[in-house]
Amino acid sequence: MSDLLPEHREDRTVGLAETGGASPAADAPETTDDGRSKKRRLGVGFWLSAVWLVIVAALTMLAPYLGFVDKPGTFSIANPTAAGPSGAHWFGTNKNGDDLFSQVVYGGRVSLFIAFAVVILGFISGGLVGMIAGFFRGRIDRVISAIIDVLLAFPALVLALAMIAVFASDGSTVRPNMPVVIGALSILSVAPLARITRGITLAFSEREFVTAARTLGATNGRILRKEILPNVIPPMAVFSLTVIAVVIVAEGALAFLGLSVSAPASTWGKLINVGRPELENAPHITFFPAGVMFLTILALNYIGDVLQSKFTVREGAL
Amino acid sequence: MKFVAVRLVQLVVVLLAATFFTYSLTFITNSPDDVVNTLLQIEAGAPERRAAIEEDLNLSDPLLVRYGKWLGSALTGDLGRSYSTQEPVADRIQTRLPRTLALVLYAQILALGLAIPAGILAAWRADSWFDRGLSSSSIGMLAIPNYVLAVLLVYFFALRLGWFPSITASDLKVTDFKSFLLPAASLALGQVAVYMRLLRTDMIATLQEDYIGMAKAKGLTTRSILFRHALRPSSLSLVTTIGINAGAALGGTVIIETIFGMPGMGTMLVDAIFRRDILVVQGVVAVIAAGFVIINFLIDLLYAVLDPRIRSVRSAA
Repeated sequence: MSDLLPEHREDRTVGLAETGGASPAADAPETTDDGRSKKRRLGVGFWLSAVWLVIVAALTMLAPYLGFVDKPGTFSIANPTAAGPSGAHWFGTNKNGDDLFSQVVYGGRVSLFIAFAVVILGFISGGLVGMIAGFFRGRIDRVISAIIDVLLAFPALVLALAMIAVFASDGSTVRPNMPVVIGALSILSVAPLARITRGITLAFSEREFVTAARTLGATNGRILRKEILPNVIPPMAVFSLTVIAVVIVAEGALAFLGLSVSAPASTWGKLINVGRPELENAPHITFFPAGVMFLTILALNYIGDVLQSKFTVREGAL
Repeated sequence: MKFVAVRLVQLVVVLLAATFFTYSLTFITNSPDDVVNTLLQIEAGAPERRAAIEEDLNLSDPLLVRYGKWLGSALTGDLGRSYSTQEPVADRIQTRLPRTLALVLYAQILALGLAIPAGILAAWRADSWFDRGLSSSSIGMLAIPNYVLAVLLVYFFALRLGWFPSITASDLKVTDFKSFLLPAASLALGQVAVYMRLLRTDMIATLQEDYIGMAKAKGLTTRSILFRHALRPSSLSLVTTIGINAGAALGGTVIIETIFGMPGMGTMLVDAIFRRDILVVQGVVAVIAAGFVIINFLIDLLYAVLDPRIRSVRSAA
């Protein structure tokens, strides 16, 4: 570890220049990139990322019960101005005098809820389809793989937009609600998870314990449930971390276009977008939600990378 | 040749699937009556226009036939007309498509221009401070969504320093590099990280090859070895990824164009979605799908050109 320290300082400066130095923790998960040399240990970056995610998860989930987080719509200040960070308002306030920290917490609640819902949808449906394709192979695999390839190949954001255009129409305007956004974004989770599950299932179906179970007279259903499923879930769960990050970004993109969940619900992407008109005078309105989003994605990607190298899925099997 | 044919069929299937998907979506969720009502509303047209719109959309035919007719005219360059502006969809696409293509192209040039030298240097001096610094910061680059980067760039380079415009002109020319730089950079950064990592990995493997040792023994300069001997055989997975990424970048242009107010395909799509202008949405998705398919096909051809071994191996497989 100690011999790496000078390099870490380099990383830090590069990282900060890149991100505009969003917050003191910005460099945290980058401090180690020695996954290759230290396979056994998870490293400082891993734990810093994990701590960050736990903090984000705790704040967003417990927000309604936390005294220092204002509920949306309940705060009013006599003299509303967009002020920078202070002791009373950690992330500052926006031009209505709303506490930005609270807004970021509540925005995260929606962003993360959508991301989890999308990934769970992908986990179940993609997992099922992938297991069927990988286990039974033959024609059914070819058909499923072809569909997955098409879905993976096409720019997902464009398809999601097209879906929202159709499903979220309310008279002459477009007002997407939660199920529509989740459904449209699930394009991003179903196909990748199906593909990875197929690969893993394919590899495990060849293993001795599956042959043994079959020789003992186990049905296909039993083999899938008792032998394959427990082996498929861990690598899928690890891969899901990366998918969650992708979905958070994609939801933000929809929010940016005004095509994610409609008001009053707020998300990180929406907060970033809302701050844009005041970017010149009050950049903190945009930068704080952007920084929190960046760190969360960074942490998810980093943990995903570290864990993935532990559950290496051979590319050849895919 | 067989490999090329198989890919072509695959890509055409992608194209058909994507267009049919968007086409049928409209009619799965809305009854034809609703569709016509919406379009009448957009047009602010009189009720007697109803019959004309129904005729326009071939609503009396079953879905597959209707899609077939739409596809047929799409292939001849007729994508219908916009109900909000009454302009032919194809005309609007014609003025806007070059800008979007230019954006994707500039972003790729920028990404490769940064990633190739950086990747080569990182591989040449693997495990040096430069290499470590790059691979650490690439994790950071990948975690910045392109729209967040766009906002940061606008803040620093447009609002603070005033070097570049924050909003592009409505009659933007594709040669207006100054206006294109910030949007292209927003799209490029994440790709720089991807390309750099890929090239570094492949390059390290190539540098172990005997012919590199041979080149060194002949006394060739490092620059010549790296760029003339090692780069081409190391660039195969890079080239494939460019194809995949160009597709993703097409998706990314939607949001980047919106942020910079760039009159391209992306803003056209978003605008049409808000107006519920169905044929415009369909037309844009179809063109994006076609663009994606063509880019990927060209990349595949390039792949075979770069490495002659691929041709025989792939066709044998």
